[in-house]
Amino acid sequence: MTASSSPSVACIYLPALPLQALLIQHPQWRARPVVVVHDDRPLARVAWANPAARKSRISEGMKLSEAQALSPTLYARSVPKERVTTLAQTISQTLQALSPRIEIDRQHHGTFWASLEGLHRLYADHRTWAQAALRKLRALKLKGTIAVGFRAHHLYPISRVTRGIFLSSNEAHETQLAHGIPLRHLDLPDRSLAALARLNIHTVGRLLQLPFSDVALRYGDELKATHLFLSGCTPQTAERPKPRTDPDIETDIDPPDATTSRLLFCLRRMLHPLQASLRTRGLSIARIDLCFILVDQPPHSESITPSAPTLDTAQLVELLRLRLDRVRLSSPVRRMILQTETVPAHAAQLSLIDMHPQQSEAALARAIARVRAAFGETAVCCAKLQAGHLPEERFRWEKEKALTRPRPPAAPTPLLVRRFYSCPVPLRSSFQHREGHRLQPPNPSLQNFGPYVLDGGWWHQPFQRAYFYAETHTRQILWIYYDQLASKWSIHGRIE
Amino acid sequence: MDASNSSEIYAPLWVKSNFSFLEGASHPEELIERAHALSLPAIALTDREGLYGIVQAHTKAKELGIKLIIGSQIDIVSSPDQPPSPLILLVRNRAGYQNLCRLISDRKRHTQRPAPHPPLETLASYARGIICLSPTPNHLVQLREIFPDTLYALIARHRHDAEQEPSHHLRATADRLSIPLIGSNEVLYHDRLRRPLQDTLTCIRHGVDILNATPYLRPNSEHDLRPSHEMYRLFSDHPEMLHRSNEVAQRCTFSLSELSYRYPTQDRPDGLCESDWLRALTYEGAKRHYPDGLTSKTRRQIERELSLIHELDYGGYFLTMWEIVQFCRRQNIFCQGRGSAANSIVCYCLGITAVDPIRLDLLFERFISKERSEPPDIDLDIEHERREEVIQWVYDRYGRDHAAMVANVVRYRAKAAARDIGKALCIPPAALDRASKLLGSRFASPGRELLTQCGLDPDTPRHGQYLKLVDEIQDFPRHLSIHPGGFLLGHDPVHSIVPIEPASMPGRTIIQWDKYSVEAMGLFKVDLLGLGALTHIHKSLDLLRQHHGLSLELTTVPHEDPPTYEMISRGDTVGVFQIESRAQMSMLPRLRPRTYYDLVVQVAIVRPGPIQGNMVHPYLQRRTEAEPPQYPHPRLEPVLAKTLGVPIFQEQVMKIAMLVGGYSPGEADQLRRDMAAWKFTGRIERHHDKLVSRMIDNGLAPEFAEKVFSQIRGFGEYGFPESHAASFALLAYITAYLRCHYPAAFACALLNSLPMGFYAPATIVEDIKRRGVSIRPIDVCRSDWDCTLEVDHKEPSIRMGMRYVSGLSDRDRKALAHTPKDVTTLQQFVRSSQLPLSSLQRIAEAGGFDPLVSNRRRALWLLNELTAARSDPLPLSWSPASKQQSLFAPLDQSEAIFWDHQASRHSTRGHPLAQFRFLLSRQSCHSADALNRLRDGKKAKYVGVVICRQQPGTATGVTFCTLEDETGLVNLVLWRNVYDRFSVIVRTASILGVSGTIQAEAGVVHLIAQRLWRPQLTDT
Repeated sequence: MTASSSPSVACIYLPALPLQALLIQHPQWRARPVVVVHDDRPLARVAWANPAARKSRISEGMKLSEAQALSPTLYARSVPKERVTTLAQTISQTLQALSPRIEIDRQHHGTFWASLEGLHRLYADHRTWAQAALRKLRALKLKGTIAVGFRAHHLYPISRVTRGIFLSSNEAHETQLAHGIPLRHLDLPDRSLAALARLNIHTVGRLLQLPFSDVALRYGDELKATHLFLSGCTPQTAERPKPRTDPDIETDIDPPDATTSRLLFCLRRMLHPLQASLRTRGLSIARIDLCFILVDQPPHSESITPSAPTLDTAQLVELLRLRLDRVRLSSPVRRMILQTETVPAHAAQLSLIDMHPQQSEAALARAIARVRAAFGETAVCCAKLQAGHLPEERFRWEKEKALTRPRPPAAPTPLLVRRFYSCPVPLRSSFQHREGHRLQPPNPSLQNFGPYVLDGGWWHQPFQRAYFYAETHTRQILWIYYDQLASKWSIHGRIE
Repeated sequence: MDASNSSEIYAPLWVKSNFSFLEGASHPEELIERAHALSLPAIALTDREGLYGIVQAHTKAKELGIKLIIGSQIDIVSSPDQPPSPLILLVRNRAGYQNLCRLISDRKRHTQRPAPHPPLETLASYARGIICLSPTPNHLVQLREIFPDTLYALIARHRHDAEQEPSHHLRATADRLSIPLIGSNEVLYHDRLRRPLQDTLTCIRHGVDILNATPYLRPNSEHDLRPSHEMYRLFSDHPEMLHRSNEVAQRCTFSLSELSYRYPTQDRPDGLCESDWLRALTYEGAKRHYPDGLTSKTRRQIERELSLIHELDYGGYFLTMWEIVQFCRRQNIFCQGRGSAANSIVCYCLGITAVDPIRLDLLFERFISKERSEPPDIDLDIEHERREEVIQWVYDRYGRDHAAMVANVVRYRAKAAARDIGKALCIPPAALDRASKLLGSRFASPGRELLTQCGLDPDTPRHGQYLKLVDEIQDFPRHLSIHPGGFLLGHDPVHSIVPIEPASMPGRTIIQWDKYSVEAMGLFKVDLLGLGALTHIHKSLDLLRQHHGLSLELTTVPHEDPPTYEMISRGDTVGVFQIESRAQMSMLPRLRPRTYYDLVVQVAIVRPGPIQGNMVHPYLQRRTEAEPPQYPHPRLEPVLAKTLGVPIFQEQVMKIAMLVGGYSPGEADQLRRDMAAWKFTGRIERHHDKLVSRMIDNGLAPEFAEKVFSQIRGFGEYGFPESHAASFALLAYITAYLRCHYPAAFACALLNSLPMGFYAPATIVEDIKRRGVSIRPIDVCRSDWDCTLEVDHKEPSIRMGMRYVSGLSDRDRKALAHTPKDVTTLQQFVRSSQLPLSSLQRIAEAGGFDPLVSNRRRALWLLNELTAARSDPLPLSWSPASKQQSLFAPLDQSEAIFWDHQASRHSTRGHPLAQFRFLLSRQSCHSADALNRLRDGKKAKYVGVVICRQQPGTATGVTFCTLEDETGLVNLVLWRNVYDRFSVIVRTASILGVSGTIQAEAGVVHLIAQRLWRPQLTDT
């Protein structure tokens, strides 16, 4: 591998990356016909098909319903973009072991770029490097091709038709090869491909013969961008993975200790320089994740969320104190790792003088943050109404990030309030359900209202309840029901 | 229940069937049966905003002897932001029924979608004869003014706590206003087992799945039709409310049987009654049809028919049909009666039908029967492109109040059920799509295997529910559409009989009943149907007049022309009405029609009925004199002589039943009707014992009696009546005559009448080229929108029309009409036409600009610039860069043909396979022409374009394909094992290679496939 006048770029292409991602998730499907579709609709088009599917004459661009007609046992799934992005990042990180500069090409799917500059001391030649890269991909259960050469805009089409590894010997040959490659192998929209095919334009070279201005006039931005790229007028669009902006801060506790005050003292010492650093970068803390490395015990983690992103160390330490007061560590802490989640700071937070908000809503929010710090993140929740068949399904508990001032309806306050039990309480009386079709409330001697029947859920979990409002000897009104499927009475709430 | 306790009975007054579309979960009949089983004295049917299902309910109620109260639920809103309040309106008497029909019609007429409901005040003018039940306290004060002594407050108890407060409010308001209270629940299904189906229908109606449907679902299953004792327990605190329901039931005395119907009276010449005028018109027509005078038999038949028509008071109906036919004649619209009307000599004389029933000895009882006292049914075929003119004339002639089209109730069948239920139950859409497709082909009904094929686990409870619900929803009404051509006409406004509503098609109104309800109520229906063949014939005759100076009419086409029959006997019938299908073409060389009646038999015999009844083979044997005609009984010889002892027509079955089964004409007609419905109801079996025993008593051998009955059973609904076959055979003969003698005009008219018939334009073009007619390509300087005939020398040529450029719209048609044809450059054309770029590109791809720019690729490239420069008022002289001219290679022959097919579904330049003939010959592949001359049993290889694939239900798994090359058509037969082995190729290949064996019999050649392959069309 020589340092000068040699190929310096590698294009790594992983064909049908979403399909490969799917087969990594379901390795048992590899021998069966599998396609990836954009979404699970009968009219969705097949985006990628594996060889077994191709054997059944299924091809990309075909409607899913047509594909299923050709292969009744076809597995068809859509793959979320996030999964493909995660896999691309994994690939990028893996290949970084071979080259310091690996870039994910966001414009062309399944494409990665590697700079081979300066690697001649590590690898005997480019083939050795490429073989090592393919081994890395195989270890991830991925298949790919690598084209090593002089110009990225040539390597991009070449990588599409290469099997295994392509090494360019000279630039002229590389150009000739690239220009002969059929356009159908590139990521061009079907409509553009069809329009070009009608003009007998089937290869990269023929496309580049068309004047750029005419292409721009006739065929939208996508073909214009491709034309520009293939003619070498723009560099490949790639980007480096973003570095982490908030690195972990670690400190050793020596000797190991479980005392809250000492741990807090250490935390305060960790927070002060962090605060200064964040202030200069225009950031504030939205969340703190703590990890305590314990002696001979598994690590213990805690999270703290302030009422609003802040750089107020006193407020953060107070929240940490409240949390640590209720934590019982099983052994002394030998190391603490503090990780922060940061957001751009409000101007007031960056001012030299800390501005303490004075509104009561802000104070309320801080108080709730303190309660959550003391009793856990789910200690304060709000009830949200929702559609539900059963009474207990008609609301849910949600943790609200920002509290809003309540706006009660203008209707008059109801005279009676029905309080739900979070779990219905079995009625331990000996009242029996006498006749299947004739409900008797638990105590017929007192006043009862009902039954009010609720049934349904046949599509999931059938239920059949007969509700009563029953008055007890103590004049208490209970809200009870008879579960006709389980044959038992329960108290579901009381009326106040 | 304690049914005997007469004080504890009630009448359900708020009952919705599945004709409250996608809400009620029981058929009207089920509700009536259940009410009868519960010994309820009466039941109301109050579907939402309509009387769609009352005929079914009335019929069932009459059968079971239970009182049916007719009503409807209508929704009233006082302001747009308020939810509608339902009102239940019950009919007390005839005036009330008329008012309810009028109210619903008016609401539907003024209702836009989404519906802003009309205000409450509008009710006042419809209140007479109606009882109003209000289940909500809203509007009670106003309603008391509108319905002073017929308003009730309806207390419903569905055991739902949310209804308590409104109920208390309703009671308090009603007490304050002295409005009587009545107890009744809202019934949505006859049995609570239908609750899941009701929930699912709710999901479908609101377009949500079951997991998100809670706001729309009923909270419990308390909406079933309940026995009296349960209702009295529910209303134990106020039993008088239920007693009052009986009181209301007694106040409602109207029955549908009271409906009287009068056919519209015709405007008659002075001094003539309806019968006399019909008689005069009939004899006037008879003079034209029988110029040599009437035979006694003909006169007897005319008198017999006129007498029956007079007796049954059907004269007005015949005069209406005569009027419509006269209108068509005046407007030069071709029309012809079909079906059983052709059995009537009165229809023939009035010009409604074109078949002489005396000459063909047709059975009049098939048309009108005194015993069955049902109105006759005349179906009139009209040129399909001009049918709307006739429909609008009928509206104008009788008025919108007196004429409305019959509805067609679209019901759930397996496919739609699988799709809609699946969506509601959150089954993945791709699996549903597959299920609905498989239901159409491999599975008749949903089951576990179907689920497995769709990738669904049949053991999952929800999938089990899915199967059950798909089964239950079958035959449920989904929505209304328009009957293909049925009109209901009335002397009194139609909306006094049945509500009318606007159809989705502009300018059409429909009644709320379908044709079965119309028939059940004994109403007259006029059927105006569209027929492409009449359009085809009309256009052909116009071309003959224009280019050959030949003035032919439907009636003046020369009869019994030998060359025409010779062509038909060869199976050379592409484009000929009724006898152009693959099956018909295969049969023609065996049957070898020589007369018109042979064609009648030909049209009728290639039908599932005769095929399944095993009648085809015996007939062919006797036709070819391989065996003599046999008659099971001497009395049947006159009936079966025309068809050589084999019953082929429905009329023959009826005559057999009458002659040897002792059936009266009316019974025989009932047998025919039951034959048509046996698959669904098994009603044909009711005739078995009666018919077989009577035949045996009349001297037929028991085995023959059974055989006749099995033939009747096999006939099913698929057999043609002889009269119908005779009408169609007439059109078949005319189109065949035109094809034989004037192939250019025939093909040109056919191409201008598509879509219709069996074949794609490419097949028609190739066929006509093989007949020696020159076909010229699309050319913007010469083509009209339609195909035209160009007569340069002796023989006319066909110029393909712009209509064949795929993707051109009606707007493009108008733009082309205003574009001059005398342009010399592409630039001129683009500037003078207002066609959008996409349309210009399509024309370029189809070769329409070839005379202006010979290279289609270059034309395509230039169009962008030219359309961009079109807005420039002073364009510079335009000369494309010379570099661009060399950029695009011109199309070679195969590319040009391919582009033609892509852009215009045909090519005049050649057949796609013609250029590969040499190559295919080297691969030992025969041409179609050569293959059709091979001997029986010979091995052969063939490559052709697939133009048709068929798996007929009667062929037990055999697949038939028709392949084509530049020399002709080849019939391919695939046995099931071959199909299964090569199914992917069969379904996907557009050009197919076949190795197989020739089966040649009586001039019919089939290639029996043994191996299929994708042909290599490159010389490697």
